[in-house]
Amino acid sequence: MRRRTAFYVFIAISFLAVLYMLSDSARAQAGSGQVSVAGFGKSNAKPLPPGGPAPRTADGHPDLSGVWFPGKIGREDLTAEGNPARLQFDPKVTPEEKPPYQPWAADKVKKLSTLDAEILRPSVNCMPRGVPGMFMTNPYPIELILTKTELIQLDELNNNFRVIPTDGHPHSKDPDPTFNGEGVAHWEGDTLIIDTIAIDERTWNNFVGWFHSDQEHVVERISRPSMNYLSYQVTIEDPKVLTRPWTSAPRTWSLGHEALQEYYCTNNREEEALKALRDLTEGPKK
Amino acid sequence: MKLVLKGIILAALLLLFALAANVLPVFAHHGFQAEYDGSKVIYITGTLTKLEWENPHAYFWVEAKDATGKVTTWTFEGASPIAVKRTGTVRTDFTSNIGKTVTVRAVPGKDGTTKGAAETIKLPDGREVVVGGKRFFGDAKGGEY
Repeated sequence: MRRRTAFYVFIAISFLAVLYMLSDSARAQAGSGQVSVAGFGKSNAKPLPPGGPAPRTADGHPDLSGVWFPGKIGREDLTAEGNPARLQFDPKVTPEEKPPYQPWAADKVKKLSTLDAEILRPSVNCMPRGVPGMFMTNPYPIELILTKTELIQLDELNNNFRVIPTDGHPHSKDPDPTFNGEGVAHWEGDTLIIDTIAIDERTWNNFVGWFHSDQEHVVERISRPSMNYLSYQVTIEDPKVLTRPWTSAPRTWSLGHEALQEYYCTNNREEEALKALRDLTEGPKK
Repeated sequence: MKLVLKGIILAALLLLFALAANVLPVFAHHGFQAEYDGSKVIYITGTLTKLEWENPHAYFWVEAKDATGKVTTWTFEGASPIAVKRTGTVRTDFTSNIGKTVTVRAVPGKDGTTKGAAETIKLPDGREVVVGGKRFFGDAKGGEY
């Protein structure tokens, strides 16, 4: 082997070795990394069984009513990061494609600095998640109440709610934008289809910058395949931002047996802290 | 010249590989990752002085002595009180221990100030209770929340 080649390979290997040692020392610095709370960071929670058939309403539709938690275990499990039972879908089984942004929109999302992406995120600035955020970017439980004429959705997060008529009437002409939009639903077999337009442009469709235009059209499909499970899927069309409609993977919510708690965002310190950090690291901005 | 370039490219690729293996993006439902350093875990022992038990996060303060013996105030952020309660930790775990010695396990802030995102608090009665989700990712890969 030529001396120069050997020398450069040696440099590369030494570099890698140094990196490994540094990362190793970072781990050592952490001490044992062990928490004495049993099961912290893991979870033994098993997915709920199907629980038999879904209850039906007097007119024969699946009764969607219940308190629903995202994931498969029917409750919150705060320390169970990464537990498959809590995930709403398995990307290996039903992968969800990235939003098909138009080039200008992809560019805009790409240009968000990490800190700007946090500061503008509705979950950080305590703005309503809106539609479909109430399902798509919501780690807290919801309660659905299906009446003869409406689906009422109560969102523990930020004490939000929306009321959706289920008679399938046409949208009004040019409704004012609202965070939950103007939603109207109808049944197709055992699936409730919610059609929503006029959504406030401050909502995001994911946690990482998927903004939308005033032309966004959201179609949600909700069904209850069994007693313990709710299935949710959404199609988003946005001719100003996307190149074509996008459809989510089917997402799973599971039946809870506790009441929603009150959640008003009355002590948000994050926005200020993130702005201060942004000033520190990226220079002052508006 | 070509060899220098090859060496640099190789080193750069190795660096990228090492970084990618250690830094998995974890997108929590809030801005924890931008504000706190999940690669380090810290244990702060001191006097619990104050609690704010509101949404979106519980906050609590601990006065601890630093290496020089000077008393510094640490600000800790927990999860939403709703989420914390669902782990079995209750508000009185804090309020009945104001003025007493506690040990907080947390990950530090990225701005170098005395703040952290807390995982657990060890109380005077010896119990270590949960106050936040898993924050420290130094010993395992993070997951989606």
